[in-house]
Amino acid sequence: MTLSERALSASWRYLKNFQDADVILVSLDSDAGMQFWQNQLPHYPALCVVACASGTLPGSAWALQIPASRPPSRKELVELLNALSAHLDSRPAPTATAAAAEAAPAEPAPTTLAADDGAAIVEAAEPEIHAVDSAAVAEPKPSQHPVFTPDRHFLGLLQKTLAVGEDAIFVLPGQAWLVASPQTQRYYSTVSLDALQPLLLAAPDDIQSRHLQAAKMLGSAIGKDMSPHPLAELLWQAALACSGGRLLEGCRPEDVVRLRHWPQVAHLPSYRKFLRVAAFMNQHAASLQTIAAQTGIALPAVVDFHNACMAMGLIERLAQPELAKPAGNGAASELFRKISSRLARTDREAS
Amino acid sequence: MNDIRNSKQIKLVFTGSVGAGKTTAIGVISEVPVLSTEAKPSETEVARRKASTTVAMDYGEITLDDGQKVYLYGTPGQRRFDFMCHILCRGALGLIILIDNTHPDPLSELDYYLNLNADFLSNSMAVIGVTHYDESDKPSMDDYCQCLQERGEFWPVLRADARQAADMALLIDTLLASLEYG
Repeated sequence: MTLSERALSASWRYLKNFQDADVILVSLDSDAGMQFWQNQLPHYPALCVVACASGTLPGSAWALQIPASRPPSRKELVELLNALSAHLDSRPAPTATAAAAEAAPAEPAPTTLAADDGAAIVEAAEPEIHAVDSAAVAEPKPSQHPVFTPDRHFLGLLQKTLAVGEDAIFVLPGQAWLVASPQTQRYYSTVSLDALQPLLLAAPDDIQSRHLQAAKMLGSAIGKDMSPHPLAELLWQAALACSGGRLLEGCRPEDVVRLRHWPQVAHLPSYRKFLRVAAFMNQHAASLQTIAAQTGIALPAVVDFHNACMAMGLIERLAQPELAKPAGNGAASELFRKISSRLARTDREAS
Repeated sequence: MNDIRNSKQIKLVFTGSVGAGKTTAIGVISEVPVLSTEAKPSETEVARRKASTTVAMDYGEITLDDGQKVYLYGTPGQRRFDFMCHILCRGALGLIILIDNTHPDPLSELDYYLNLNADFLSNSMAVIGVTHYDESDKPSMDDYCQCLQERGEFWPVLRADARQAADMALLIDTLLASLEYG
């Protein structure tokens, strides 16, 4: 880094005390670095962290790929540090809450980089707590794209991981992280699906990911406080989070579709919203427009359900509609709503 | 589908394997104490699993806001009382089949109860609740879906805890939504 100093846009220096660091580089090739990444990072959501690894880190903004045969070149380091400097300069001033969360130094903190051996790789110690940088959270911009393209979202990364069949770790620096395992059909996280929303909404370029090629690496990547959940639920939620009522690319509203089988997401809050669409599509093959008309559910919601089921591989396309019989029996529907309403009351009383 | 407008009773039937939680399920949603006919099991396999089991039926009810009653019936789990299933299903809105996932062969149990109620299901709907999934996740939910696909049947299948009113309400809501569009 000393050799790179003249090429850097800002002044950087190593710090031994992590409490003063603005940026931390973590080597995912080392056990200590991996442990920090797994166990400490989730507790410090505002840290600006760079992942360093000899494995691939596709689409990651803050990552330093270390070639297997040589150390990272000066050029790679300069580019990374200059990009980090620009990012840090562009961050908004801390809010009152953020300022309170920070142990603010009397003087503005220098743009610093901590390292233990001069190789720009840190075996991290206890890091500083910063406030969450809301500007770093990617917002979905459904209006910018008329169709839903998974590759623009976390969903695309997840689907590629499933296609490859290798377990992978996904990190939105400072926000959320999880381990997805096609091998076990589970994902592992320390937080609820709701709390993973920033990751699900993020653009791939903001997400750091790494494949865990050996089974033993999955074991080491899963912390003790991570609980397993069905991977289908992650796919479902990842699609719903970004769908925004836009039809999945390659699909048309007039396509005749039905469910292959019932979606296994009954324990997610969004399940009830789509219950009637699921019931219809489980028994009939129809266009999305017909499904919306027959169920009385708005077309964008039907589209969202279709997209989520498509992501889970549950949609079957047919050439012709198959409507067994006219749907909806007024008297029956009214009775069913009364029973549902009564059961909801029982549920509330029980809880 | 049974014409519910002409039905004198609105009833739902819980059936399925021994120990799957039929009596418990009715108990958590019934607003009256469950009328249960428990006895020491006579079948060896059942006796190994439970000290007492339903021999005739379980009965519970809920009252809708307009005063209408919904009757909840549970069938006995022992095979020699299978005839009760046909009696209880007469005029029922639909069937809730509970399968104990810790049973030695849950998918065969599913097959068994679908076959047993084939006549009823040719004209009505079922929902399948897989219980004790927290104790055993094999077979998986995908295995259940696969089993149904192989049968050419597409009943909704959900994980469920018979002790949780919310889970039972979810099963019944799923059944009702299926009835609405069936």
